[in-house]
Amino acid sequence: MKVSYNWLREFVEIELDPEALAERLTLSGAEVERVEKVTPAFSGVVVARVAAIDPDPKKPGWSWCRVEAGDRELTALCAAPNLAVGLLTAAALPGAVLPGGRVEAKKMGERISEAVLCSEQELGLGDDEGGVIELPPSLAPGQPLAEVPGIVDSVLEIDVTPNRPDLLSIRGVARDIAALTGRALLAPGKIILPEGPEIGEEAGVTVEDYSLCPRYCARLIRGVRVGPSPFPIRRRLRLGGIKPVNNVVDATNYLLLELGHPLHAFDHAALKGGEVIVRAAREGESIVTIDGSERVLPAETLVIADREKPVAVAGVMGGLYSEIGEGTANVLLESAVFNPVSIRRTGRALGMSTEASRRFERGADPEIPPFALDRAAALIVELAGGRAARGVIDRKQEDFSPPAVIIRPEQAGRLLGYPVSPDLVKKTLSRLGLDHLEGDQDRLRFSIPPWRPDLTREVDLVEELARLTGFDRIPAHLPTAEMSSPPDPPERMVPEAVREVLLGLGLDEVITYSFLDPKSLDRLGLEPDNPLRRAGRITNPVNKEQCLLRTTLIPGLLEVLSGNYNRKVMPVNIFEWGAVFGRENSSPPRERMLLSLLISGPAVRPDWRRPEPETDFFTLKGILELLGGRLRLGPLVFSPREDLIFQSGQCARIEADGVLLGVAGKVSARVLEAYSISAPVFLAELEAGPFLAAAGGALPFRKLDQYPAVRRDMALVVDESLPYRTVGEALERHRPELLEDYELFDLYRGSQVSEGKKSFAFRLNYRSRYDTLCEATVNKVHQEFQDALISELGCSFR
Amino acid sequence: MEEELQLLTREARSALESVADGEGLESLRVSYLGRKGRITALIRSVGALPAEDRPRMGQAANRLKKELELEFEKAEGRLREAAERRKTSREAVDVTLPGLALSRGRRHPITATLEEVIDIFSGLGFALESGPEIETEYYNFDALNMPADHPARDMQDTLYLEDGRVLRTHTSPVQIRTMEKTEPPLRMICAGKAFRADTADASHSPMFHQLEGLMVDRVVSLADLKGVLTVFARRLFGEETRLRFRPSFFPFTEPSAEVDISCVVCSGTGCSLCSRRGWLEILGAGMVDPEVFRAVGYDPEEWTGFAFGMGIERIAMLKHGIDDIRLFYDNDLRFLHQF
Repeated sequence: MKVSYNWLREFVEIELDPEALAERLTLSGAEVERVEKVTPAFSGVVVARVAAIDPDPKKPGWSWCRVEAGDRELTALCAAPNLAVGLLTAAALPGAVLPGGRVEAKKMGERISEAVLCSEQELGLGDDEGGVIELPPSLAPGQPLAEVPGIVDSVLEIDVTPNRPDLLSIRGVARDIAALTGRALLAPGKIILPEGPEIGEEAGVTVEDYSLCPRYCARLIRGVRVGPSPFPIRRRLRLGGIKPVNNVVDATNYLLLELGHPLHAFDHAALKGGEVIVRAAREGESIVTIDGSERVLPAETLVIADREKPVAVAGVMGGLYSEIGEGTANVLLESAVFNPVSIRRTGRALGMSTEASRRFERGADPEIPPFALDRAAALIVELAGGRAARGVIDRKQEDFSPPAVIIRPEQAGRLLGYPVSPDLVKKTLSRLGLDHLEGDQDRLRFSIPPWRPDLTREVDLVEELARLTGFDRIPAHLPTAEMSSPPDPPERMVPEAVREVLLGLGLDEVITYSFLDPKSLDRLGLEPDNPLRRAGRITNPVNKEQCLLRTTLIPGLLEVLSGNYNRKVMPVNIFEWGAVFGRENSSPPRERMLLSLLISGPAVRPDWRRPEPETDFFTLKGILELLGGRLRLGPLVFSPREDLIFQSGQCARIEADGVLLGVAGKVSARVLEAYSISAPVFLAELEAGPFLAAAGGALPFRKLDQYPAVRRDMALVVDESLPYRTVGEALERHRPELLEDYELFDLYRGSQVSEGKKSFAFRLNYRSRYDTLCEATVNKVHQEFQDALISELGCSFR
Repeated sequence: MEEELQLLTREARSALESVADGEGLESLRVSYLGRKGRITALIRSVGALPAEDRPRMGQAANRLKKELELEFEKAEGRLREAAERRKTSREAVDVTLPGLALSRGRRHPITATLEEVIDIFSGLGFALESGPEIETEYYNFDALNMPADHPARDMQDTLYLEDGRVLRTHTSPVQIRTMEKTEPPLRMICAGKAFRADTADASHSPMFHQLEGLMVDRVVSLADLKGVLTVFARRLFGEETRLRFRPSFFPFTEPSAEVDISCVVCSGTGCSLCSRRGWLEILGAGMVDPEVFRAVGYDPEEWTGFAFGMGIERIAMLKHGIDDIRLFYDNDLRFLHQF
């Protein structure tokens, strides 16, 4: 809501400057987002009265005007169509600066034009360039225009919270200022509304459903002359963010800003039967609204109709057909209250949010319609002439009875944390216009004014109390509560442990969007029935790249990779722990956590002494194995697998403890091409579930062995086709008790072994926990071990 | 004989002075002091002298031998030092060369900030809870006093799924789920992703992170909330930080407040970060609305509670002076490596 500081001052005395007022309002809950200083874009312009007009004989349409500006008289050549003797307008004196440039006296033929009479547009005060600006007759000629009230102003832009419909108006904001500063709310000028003949049978109002339209008031104004509004009205509308239209419409909008109550003016002649009916739209009805668009009305849309068709979408926007135009003579003026939920639904269904609907959907003041109606009628008569018919149509089912709310000072103190006395409650709430009814000191009963539909419960009053007393009065202290230090859940501990391992290995953590671009499924080359394609769809996505819920973290990681490669930032070694949303067939998306890793270069950066180490499948596998070990998943079992995303022969499925953990491998050339990446990339995607399940208590301690170890190396020569896993399994099966650990330290193919063979070289550590091993024992055990391997694998040793 | 002895000693000394390495030294030692060495031979020949000369000559010979042995030791030390000097000078390095390129990965700044905030509230006894990112309208709105057609739903542009569920617009549903399964009193926080139908720009993101907290007990007041949040803000932004509570509106709290901290750059005097206001909004908070308690079956007459919620991106941006929220999700390593 844009609020003019000058306008506010018509309703309440304000001693604070605009900035200080903004601060005060902000601290009371009406957050002022910014204060816009409205300063004139001109200088050297004065108020001037046109004293004489003398048409230029040589230039048709141009006149020489003599204008009085205080103690000076000036001549000005002017072509404005609205020149009239006695008109008060603005004259730019020689040396004046206008937005369009500097003004100098000009010799025009025989005579000198000393001043320029200005339009609103030339002064930068509006977009009207149809004639010279018409200033209110109350101003004194000669007065600098910049000093005229309303020319310099400040506009406070208030972010009004949805619970405060009353603050969507100048008067409502003024009322809050009055309550905050202890001033009285001033009433605007008394309404003077000369009434003409009775409204009689000429206009009628029928409300079909009072639950949707609790009150509908109307007046008829006859004989208006539609034209532009005077400058001050247009100026205030503009500062309030509303475009001036004509004097009748402007009058309703002026009151919309001033009172926060939306009004609507119909061209009475356009209403069939001269009457309006408030009813639900019928199947198939449509309306062309004043913005020129034709709108099909969903059934149940609340409309204002004449005898034949809808003429307005109730509380949202009027119809083009009955809008006020140049030819309008008689105006039917509406001031009604509509059901907020109905307005909100209509606005949503039609995709419309207007100044009117924004107010009605927050709840209108049920008592204001007759008052707003009279104010508007008086303003229309003032601006457009005509006479209001005697009599007001006021359709309502029941009178408004102010709700009463009880507040217990003790409960207020309990919530706010400081003692609250009954007196404080009474004094504070009465400033807001809440009347203390009867009731004892422990339970104070207040009647709620009609403009505060948000105050329905005790807590609402407690908030008002705190708001007016100031939140800074609330002390700060720590709560008294039982000491506790709850343990961290696995959902925090496990990803933290994963991070600790992976960060230590040089991988960076990333967080990517939970959305999925359908195109990335194609980039991955997934077959149509691939489960990763069964993604949940967002019905109202921000854009089509974000219309699905991700089923995998892989596209996100590949995009991070390609983004960094495009910026020549490499290598990219990253991981993400995050939720994906997979679907079983047609079931709704189910949420689960994944951990995915991407490696595109050595974990340790090359430097001047070390050449770039090779990155391959085993770099990734080593990381995964270390991770599995540190996170207590048990040994990870890798078995060959084929997957469209990965290069054939370089992909493995991973199991831990018999449970599927995920997949790892080298990303296929086709996928890399789709992401325009030319480096080898290794990816793993793991289920987070097994990690979370493996989290447990403290690790048990195992006594350190005291006796020396004995080392033996052995090189097994086996058929090329034999996978390492078979050898490893045999080693485990025949593992002697004294064998503490072993590692594969070389894989050899070449002249030292025969064609079609390869050699696995192991380093073994024998150790006894009970004594020092002697050579003979180790030799015996080692020999038996080798014999067992020979008989199982048919291998030889070299 | 005495003369011979003197001569030999002089000869040995001059030879020692010119010896260049350990090998030379050793052969000198052998030739003078070895079992067949010249000094040794001389001493041995003392026995052949007349008995009256033997003691004197024996003493003299032994003294000279001792002196010579000392000289040999010194020479050996000298040679060792020289060798050491040669070795170190060979091994000298250019200490101005860069060190090896060791690296450690970086935590995402959102995670780092979240962890920091969680730690603070953990220390105050708030238990960490979590909940799903896809929510029902009930948990995301209705239970939080935002019935259908409530204008407050407009404050949050919601992303809907085909099955009618939503991507949670805040982490508040976790508060409801926690209250449903826990009897009061309770202290909890929850953290995670939230989603809004916002087009990404410098200050908006369709996905962001929130952290919320809730405390319910018999007498919990706005003053307690202020105390807890003051401790939090000072731990996170420094002891000098001042807090300001402004009344505001949230459907799930009443009274509601927005909380500002004194500007982290100018401390309140006004700068471009705080738009000359001196204050920065960091979170929303308030006393749990009785309707929310009713929705989870708590008696609002018996229990009171406070709740608060903050955007982690906002906190991280303020802490590090980051000016564009999109940077968090671009994952440019040059950005990630700064934290």
